[in-house]
Amino acid sequence: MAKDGVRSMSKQIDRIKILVAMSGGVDSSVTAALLKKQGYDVVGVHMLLSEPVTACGAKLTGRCCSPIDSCDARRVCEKIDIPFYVIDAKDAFRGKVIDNFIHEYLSCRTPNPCIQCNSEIKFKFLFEKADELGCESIATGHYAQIRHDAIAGKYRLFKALDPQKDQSYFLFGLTQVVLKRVLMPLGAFPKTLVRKMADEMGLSVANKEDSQEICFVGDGEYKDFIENQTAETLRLKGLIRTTNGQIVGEHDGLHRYTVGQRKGLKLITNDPGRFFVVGFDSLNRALIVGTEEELFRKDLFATGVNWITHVDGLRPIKCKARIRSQHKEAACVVTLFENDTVRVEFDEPQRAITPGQAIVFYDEEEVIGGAVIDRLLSLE
Amino acid sequence: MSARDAIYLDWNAGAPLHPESVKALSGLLESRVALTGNPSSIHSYGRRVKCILSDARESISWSLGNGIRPEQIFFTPSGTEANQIIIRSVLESAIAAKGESGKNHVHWITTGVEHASTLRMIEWAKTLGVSVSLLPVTKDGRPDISVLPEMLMDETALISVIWVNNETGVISDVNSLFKVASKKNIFLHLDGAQAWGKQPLSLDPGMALAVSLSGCKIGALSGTGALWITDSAREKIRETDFRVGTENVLGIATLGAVARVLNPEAWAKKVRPIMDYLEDAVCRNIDGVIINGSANDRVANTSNFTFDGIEGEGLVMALDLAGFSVSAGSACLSGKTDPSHVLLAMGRTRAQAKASIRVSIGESTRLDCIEEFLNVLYVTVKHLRETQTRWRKMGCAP
Repeated sequence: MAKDGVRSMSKQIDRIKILVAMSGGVDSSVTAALLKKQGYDVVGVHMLLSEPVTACGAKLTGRCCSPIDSCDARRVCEKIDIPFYVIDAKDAFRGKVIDNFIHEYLSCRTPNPCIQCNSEIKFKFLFEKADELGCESIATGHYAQIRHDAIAGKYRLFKALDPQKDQSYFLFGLTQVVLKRVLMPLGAFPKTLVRKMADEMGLSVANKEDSQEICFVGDGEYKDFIENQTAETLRLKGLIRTTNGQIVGEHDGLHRYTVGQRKGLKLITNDPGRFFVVGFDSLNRALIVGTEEELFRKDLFATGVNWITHVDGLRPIKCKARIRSQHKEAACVVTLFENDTVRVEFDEPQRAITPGQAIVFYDEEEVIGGAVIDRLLSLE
Repeated sequence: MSARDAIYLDWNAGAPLHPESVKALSGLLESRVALTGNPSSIHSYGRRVKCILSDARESISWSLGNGIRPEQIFFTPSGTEANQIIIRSVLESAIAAKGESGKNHVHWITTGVEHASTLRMIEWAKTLGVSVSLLPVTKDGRPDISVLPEMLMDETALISVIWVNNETGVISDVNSLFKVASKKNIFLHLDGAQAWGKQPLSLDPGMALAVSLSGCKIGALSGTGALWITDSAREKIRETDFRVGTENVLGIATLGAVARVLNPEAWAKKVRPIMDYLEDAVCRNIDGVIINGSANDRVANTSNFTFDGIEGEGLVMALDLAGFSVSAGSACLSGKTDPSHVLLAMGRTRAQAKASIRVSIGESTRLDCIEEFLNVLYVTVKHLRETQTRWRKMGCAP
């Protein structure tokens, strides 16, 4: 209720102000609550990212958006007594994440929209809002650890303590300028403890289910999403060939396939179960299949590399690399080229190296950098 | 900053509970007897509750002017529903009166600066085959009544116009509207949610006229509203059982209690000097600012500012963090804001519409609070302009 009294402005200036990106889930809620407990001046912000979709995938009429998630976030903020705002990030998300996702699939690559969202939305778009609101830092509920190396004067990114929940793979794109202003307080907790903390703090989201893999696709399959969003002329059908050039079937558009896929190929051959997708011949609109052995490869080129720690570009770097989020990182040698391009040679062949996915370089627990896989070295 | 100590400058969204509401509520809560029962019951409990409704109806009719009778007041669950109920009733009655063949021959005129509750009825009306015309709006936000006579058709069944605009405070030229509508005997609906208590209402009970009223804008409990419908207007509606179900007795009691003490002249006398001071100070101390609708008569408590080169949404958030509650555009269910349709209808660009905030005050707003607000506003607008310019230059990483 309005109380028109004279108040002192000074008390707001003393404390460090932190913007917490709140999805309405348990992780970001606990993040906000922990920071509030630690005495920071916390502001909760929920970003509307995509058009609201009902459970059955139909578009909701009207202009309002995923009210359940924003309501959950709002209730948590009321509970822990911090301000809360909803920001419309739909245009930015559409332009930087969804369009990129569609474009990548149409270019025969398998994108990772979470990585794109981190670098373009959470740790770029949201920083402008943080600046507007006078927030020094942004905190998220990511499971990863950021440490300040006082001697080198640099920030370093490490895996989460809970290997099950580790999200460091998705964060390789963070630069020093960004890391300096980001907090991820959950990196040192196991998920079970996070839920327990949420419960103890009386947060209504303590038992809320974890979010889906691709938030904007909804309940359906990504293929249907892409087909709904693009013209048919962009999704040409074609033939399926083996690596030897033998024609073994027809496909319904290359966007429907990803490297390593075996299901749903409908091959006309004696032993269809033997074949996996091993690549694309986009010039001839052909899908290339091969045996499981042919899925195992050692060399790749990746682009858009970002190094979090300093590396010596003049000599090959020996480290371990992860080629998808669930991959166990494997030993490799990285050679640097111009234009942020790297060549990676694994010691042992790796299964289903997929263009479009990120390759993230680790030194034990530490993320030293990462890039996006562009192509394998000579497919045929 | 929590809502407890924030300075409230968003009275048009919902006024703080009026002292008379509080008095009425505490009186009723003390004598619980008065709250027992259904006003439709025959017994003593029912009668007692029914009297509360009658009292409120009487107070409301008095607040609207001479010659207005209590039985012309109908309670609704809100101002929004008052608008929607009357629009629906009039259009449905007009369609029914034309019979089967008349389906496509009902015409409704409204404006692009109406409250969302009215605008949402346009889609509905179109599905029934009603043709809808929008009265043009001047760039100062006033519905242009001069073109109304040319827009009238034989089939025009209803004209709906917002009396006082909720976002800009611009007062519509209702006298001209009265003339046009009564000459042709067309049903006129005025959305009076923001006019009630802020503007002397000289209404002609002889016309076919309905006015919607809202409780939460005058400091009654939210979830209350009313319609005043003249006798000749009622003749044009088939069904006047607008509201079924038990009335919101507590809410209606507050509605009556506040209506009894409404005094637009005294209110304006208190509010206008403070708002004039605010507008004057903003224009003197901030460059690149427009007061939307300022060329018109506006109610005393509302100012809508466009600050070049900023996002209103960010300004509202930053001001909230500093302890001041203002608004931008129209809030949606999820809590985000869309650019104001009112400013877009006035010919502002999307960027301009997004760069706007509304400040609306009330009788208890004090000058020292406005001083404090101004000091924060200057700093915040400057900060936002600098931040947004810096980001536009970089186009990327912080």
